[in-house]
Amino acid sequence: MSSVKKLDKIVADLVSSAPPGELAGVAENLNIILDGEQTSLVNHELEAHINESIAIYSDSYIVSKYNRDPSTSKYIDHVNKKLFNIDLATGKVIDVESYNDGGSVSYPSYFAGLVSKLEQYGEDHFPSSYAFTVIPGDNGQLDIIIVGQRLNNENFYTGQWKAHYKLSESQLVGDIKLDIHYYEDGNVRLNFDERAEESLAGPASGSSIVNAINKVESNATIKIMDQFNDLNQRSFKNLRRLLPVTRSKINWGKAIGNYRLGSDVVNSK
Amino acid sequence: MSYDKKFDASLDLLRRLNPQKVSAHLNDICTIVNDEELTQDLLSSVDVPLESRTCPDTGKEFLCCDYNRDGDSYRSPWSNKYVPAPSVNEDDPPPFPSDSLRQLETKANESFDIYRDLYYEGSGISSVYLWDTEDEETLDSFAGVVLLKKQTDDKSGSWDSIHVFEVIAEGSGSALYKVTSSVILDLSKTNLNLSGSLTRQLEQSSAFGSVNLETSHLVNLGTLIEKSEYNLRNLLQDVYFDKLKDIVMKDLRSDVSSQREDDERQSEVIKSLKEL
Repeated sequence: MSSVKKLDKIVADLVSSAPPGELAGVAENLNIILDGEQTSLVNHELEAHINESIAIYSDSYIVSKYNRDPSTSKYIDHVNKKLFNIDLATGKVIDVESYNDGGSVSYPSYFAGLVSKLEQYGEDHFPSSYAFTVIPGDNGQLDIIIVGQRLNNENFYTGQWKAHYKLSESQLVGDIKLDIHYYEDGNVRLNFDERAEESLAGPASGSSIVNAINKVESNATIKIMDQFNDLNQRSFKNLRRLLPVTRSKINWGKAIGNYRLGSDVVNSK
Repeated sequence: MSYDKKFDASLDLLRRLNPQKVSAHLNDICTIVNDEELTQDLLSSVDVPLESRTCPDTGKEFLCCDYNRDGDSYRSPWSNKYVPAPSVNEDDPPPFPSDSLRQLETKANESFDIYRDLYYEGSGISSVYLWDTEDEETLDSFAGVVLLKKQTDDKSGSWDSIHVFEVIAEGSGSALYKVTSSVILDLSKTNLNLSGSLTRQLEQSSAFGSVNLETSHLVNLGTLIEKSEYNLRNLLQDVYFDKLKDIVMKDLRSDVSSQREDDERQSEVIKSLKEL
């Protein structure tokens, strides 16, 4: 027992492997396994994971370390000027109050325009739950977070599209993640992760920013589809044939040795 | 918490967590449940990618699972010997199938080696293990597992199939064959990863026919497992490529605006055709 893994590291590893939208269930399972004696550890790791990986609460609130208010440890919604907290057990937003930065935050002149363009972008491209937020930073930098999510547990799947962009001057740098969990009679997971960069075509404005986002996200979608096809046509097909070369099922029993005779002839050619 | 609740919660957790890391997650869960019996039950209930060993007698590779394990040793289906040789313990000798079952096991391994050649295009590893389920040690009722594993040459894909079956005597002339089949499929390309496992059950009552009992079992089991794996391969194609792609395009990020434009363009075309 020289290299015993610490409990907090194990809980952190398990929590970070949870599908988006299934965190409450994962926490419940962990609490049962741990005899309910480590609820504060489980909650702590859950919160750390949510802050690090970005989550969506009550369908429209973005929760992340980027919009966490250091003084109150609540989350700031700069778009709707709200402060809120989250309930880890129910996965809902609680304690919503209005947010007044007291003039400490500098919003760019195009902030309202960007918000309305992002709303339109959601309508155009995200058919399920959609949430976004814009977080003003120092020196005119902006963090933009976009999440599209579908929790369809009746049909055994959950999925999330999540993008985080940093805009400095006219350069947009983003990280796009796609995570889907399908679990009818099994457990199947899709993960896609891509870093993207794009220069704004023109001065920073609602349109130039959302156009750049649309471009990198459309490119990512095309890449996903290409890689899907490649995995299907090459990797999957090369693993196991649908039928043997003879195009018929095997003749089991004593005669099965005849196949070997045949293949030995082929291999020895 | 009760044993059952913890067992169910562990399985439910593994059903949710990323299947690509199932082996690591299973180890972690066993560490935190800290219960010998529960750990053993979890290890034998959860399918993980198969490991292989080389049989020192034949030089052939074979697959390892809970059913051919004794402590840290695994029985080779090619030589019927444990690798590495377990320490001698006369009170608790390692399990072996009875003579008649071992004879059937040898033939089943030969048959599934051919099956592997035909379906996995000459590559991969196969292993079959059988064990007695009754004290009489006859060929009327027994159980077993068929394992197959393959990785693509470029390492972009790996396949593990695990078919656990049971043969139950049904009086003279026939038996009930029940199989639970799982395939663990992992596919990776640049920054897209598809991984997981699907499980299905299949059972069939089959007559023995005019050949001897041993050959009848080989025919009936071979046919059933071939059918079950065929079904699962189709299901994997369905889920990994059709279902997941649909979720991306229809549920997560679609081009609603271009679809709208397409619809408008289409109605324009229809309108202009009507005006002709």
